[in-house]
Amino acid sequence: MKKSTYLLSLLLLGTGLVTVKAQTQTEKQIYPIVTVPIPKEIALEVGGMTFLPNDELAVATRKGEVWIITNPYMKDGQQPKYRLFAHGMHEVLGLNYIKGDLYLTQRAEITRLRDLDGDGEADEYRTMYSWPLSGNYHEYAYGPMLDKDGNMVVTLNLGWIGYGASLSKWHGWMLKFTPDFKLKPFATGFRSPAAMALNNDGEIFYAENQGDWVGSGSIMHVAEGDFVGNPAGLIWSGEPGSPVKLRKQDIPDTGEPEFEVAKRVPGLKTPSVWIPHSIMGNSTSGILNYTDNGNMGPFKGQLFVGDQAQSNINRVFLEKVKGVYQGVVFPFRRGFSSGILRMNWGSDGSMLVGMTSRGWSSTGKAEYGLQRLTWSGVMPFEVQTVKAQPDGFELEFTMPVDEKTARDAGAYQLSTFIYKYHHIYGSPVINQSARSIKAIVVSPDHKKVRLVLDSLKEGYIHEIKMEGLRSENGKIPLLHDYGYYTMNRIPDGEKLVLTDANKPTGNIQVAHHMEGMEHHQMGNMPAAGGAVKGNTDLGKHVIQQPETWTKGPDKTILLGTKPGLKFDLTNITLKAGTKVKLTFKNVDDMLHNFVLTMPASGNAVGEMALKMGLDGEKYYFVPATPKVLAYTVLLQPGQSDTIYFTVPNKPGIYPFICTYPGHYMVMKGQIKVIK
Amino acid sequence: MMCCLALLTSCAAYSMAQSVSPYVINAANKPYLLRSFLMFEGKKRTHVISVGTPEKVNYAYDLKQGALLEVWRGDFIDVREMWEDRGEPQLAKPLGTVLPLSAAPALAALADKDAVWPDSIAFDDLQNQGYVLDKSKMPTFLYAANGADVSDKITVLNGGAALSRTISINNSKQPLYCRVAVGQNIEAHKNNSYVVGDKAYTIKVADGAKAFIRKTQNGKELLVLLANATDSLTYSITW
Repeated sequence: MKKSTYLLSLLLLGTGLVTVKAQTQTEKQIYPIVTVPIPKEIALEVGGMTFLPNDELAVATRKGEVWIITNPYMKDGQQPKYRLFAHGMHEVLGLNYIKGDLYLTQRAEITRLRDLDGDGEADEYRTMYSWPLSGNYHEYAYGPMLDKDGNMVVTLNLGWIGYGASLSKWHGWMLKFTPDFKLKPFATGFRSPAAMALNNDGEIFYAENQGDWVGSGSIMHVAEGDFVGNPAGLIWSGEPGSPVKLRKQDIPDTGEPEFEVAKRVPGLKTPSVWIPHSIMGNSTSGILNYTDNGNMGPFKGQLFVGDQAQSNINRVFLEKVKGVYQGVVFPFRRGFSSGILRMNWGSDGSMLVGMTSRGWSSTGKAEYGLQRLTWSGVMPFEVQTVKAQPDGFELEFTMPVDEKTARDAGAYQLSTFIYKYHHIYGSPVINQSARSIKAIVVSPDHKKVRLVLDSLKEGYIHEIKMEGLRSENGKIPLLHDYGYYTMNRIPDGEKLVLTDANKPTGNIQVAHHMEGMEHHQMGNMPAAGGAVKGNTDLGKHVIQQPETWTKGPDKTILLGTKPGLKFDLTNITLKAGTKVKLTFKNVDDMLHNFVLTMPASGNAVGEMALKMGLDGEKYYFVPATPKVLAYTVLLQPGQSDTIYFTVPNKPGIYPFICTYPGHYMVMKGQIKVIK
Repeated sequence: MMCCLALLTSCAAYSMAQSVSPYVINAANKPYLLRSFLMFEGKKRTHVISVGTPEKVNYAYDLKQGALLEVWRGDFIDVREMWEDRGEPQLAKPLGTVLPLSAAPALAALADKDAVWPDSIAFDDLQNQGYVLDKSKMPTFLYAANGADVSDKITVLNGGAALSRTISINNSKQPLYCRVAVGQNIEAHKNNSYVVGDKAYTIKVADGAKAFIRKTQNGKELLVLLANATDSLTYSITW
């Protein structure tokens, strides 16, 4: 019996009807990116994008222009054509075709553009509503988005004065405007609300960026009267028409997880889905709902989330548990050419992605860009949805999984963690602990896997890694094998009874327990989920003058920052063996450090920092490597760190960089060591 | 000692590299309109539009005050502080010699002929409505304030020798005054002309306008009365 089956297999192999091993999928293969050419003389720094009824793409730029692009799809091999429709507006960060007109948001107002004489150029720039400004550069304005009731929605950034502050009225707020442009203040607590979209229920979701009071970026549902976290906007909550009841003094600054604070501060809204910073993205900037007119794989109804810093798009699946939105974020596509800001569906179901990175570093090094994300039609092997269960998760896959790997606990790695809620910029990962799997049930069609965990932690982010899973056909790994589920509410219901039948095979990959440990006690423990370990050699961070320096340092250096991710000194020449006292002060509006590296090692160390995983911030994003010579800690805006080091004896060019993920490409300098 | 000198040299080299050239914008064959922040009389104005013309006559206008702030000839404007990196100041800088005029609103409802001209109008008391471009793409600014609908158009006159300004009011609930000029000294001359300051500039008011000079604590003002619900004033500035 066995022999004939074997012979049959050989025969089938020979005929090519049986494939032994399929190729592992790649993002490039499944979701090709097409670059839309931009004429050299046009600085298409995309701030807003909208399609017009005739399928032309209107693009608003940060230099205040509106360009209309014909044939962005390059149909029939034809180049797209650009024409200038409007100019001169003040940093446009939103454009929308609403009820027959083009509306946009610039720093000071909502503007409507009309071409009255039909010559192809706007000649009416109508101010629909204007708000006060302080003159602070950080007071950006976004929108307008149409809500389900026909109101226009705008969000206003906080100003930045070393921390986020609401320097002029309504900054830090989401505002609604009725069809006759009466103002209805809607919600506050916003810091840098760079994007918003409606989901299929017509509910508003917005994208927040890591910063003060914001441990990590996120996607958050917004309802009327919500306070979404940053207290600066609360100075206006007493204004007539404000639906927000909280005042600044109601908000504790303890560093507890936000969900804990929210239990005793009614009105404080926590993120629907956290986007773990540096792992999934750093600057959440664009949201696109996957509506029926999109064609991007089997994910309709989910949200695509763009990132300005990492030039990538993530995918968010949302569900409602006990009336609260929550869900999971997975990577979707990396490798865009610049910093992503806006995404729109084209008429062919492809996704137009508009980008800019002037003033901020992005992984995609181009200053600006426009690309089209397409779907090859090849079914990706992905986790389609993750649904919370009373005792774990149900993972749904786009194609059947191989049962053997699915039932092996060793194929998975799970942990829970959260961030601090406080005025300090960002947050390290805290309270991280490993989860273990008690039971695994694979559905008969092999498309669903139910994991029963040792426990679920309400309010926490649940890291789900599935490196060992394989597809049933072809035995390929997942295209994206890790995701983060935000468990705002644990669902009620029957927990699974543990039996022999659902007992997992193998042992779960254990991430070491991280609870309550200081980083310098970590020894040589591997970073949680990171391929690169964090530095534990404190000899590279000497903060007191060495006793042997009886005459003090030979050289004292004061190093600062300049806007746009720069050190204010980039070329320092020192003699070999010089004893240096260096004070690095971060006067920028984001986190930075100073890391001195071996010759020709700046990029290598910067790349290693990108791979440090959730533990990255705990180690100040300084990787464990002999390529690092000296470093400062990761500094909040306004903070400084003083370190002592001796210049190497060997002459050469020693690069220094900031290793905060992605910064190293632009934030760098060098110490030239001479004899 | 060597190290200190070396460090100083490298610092100097770096600061020289930082003295970058301006990012100049000029109108080509059409006017260039630019919304920006602008410094005027030591204060950062946030709702300003500057207009550069092919005739190389330029002006800056405060949209929330209805104020013609300043005029200048030659190259239009430097936007380096807006469009380099993040552009933290977001300030546009007029190029060339600027003739400052006034930050105060051009229109006011005065209780009587001697009431003090307001320095400014409150943000919520002036609804700016944007602007409409004519065939040559020059703007007419529109706003509502003091109970009237206002249009304010400033265009190039005589190939660039002067600017012409026409302020029209509609549906006005009361008589309004327009302050055309303010200075230490204003002298009336023939044909409705007025010389302001030390011959800094000349104003010519259209025939029939109810113009008069009044003395104030700080000097003189040239006012025009707009008595009717629908009324208008045209004057030119030559400098």
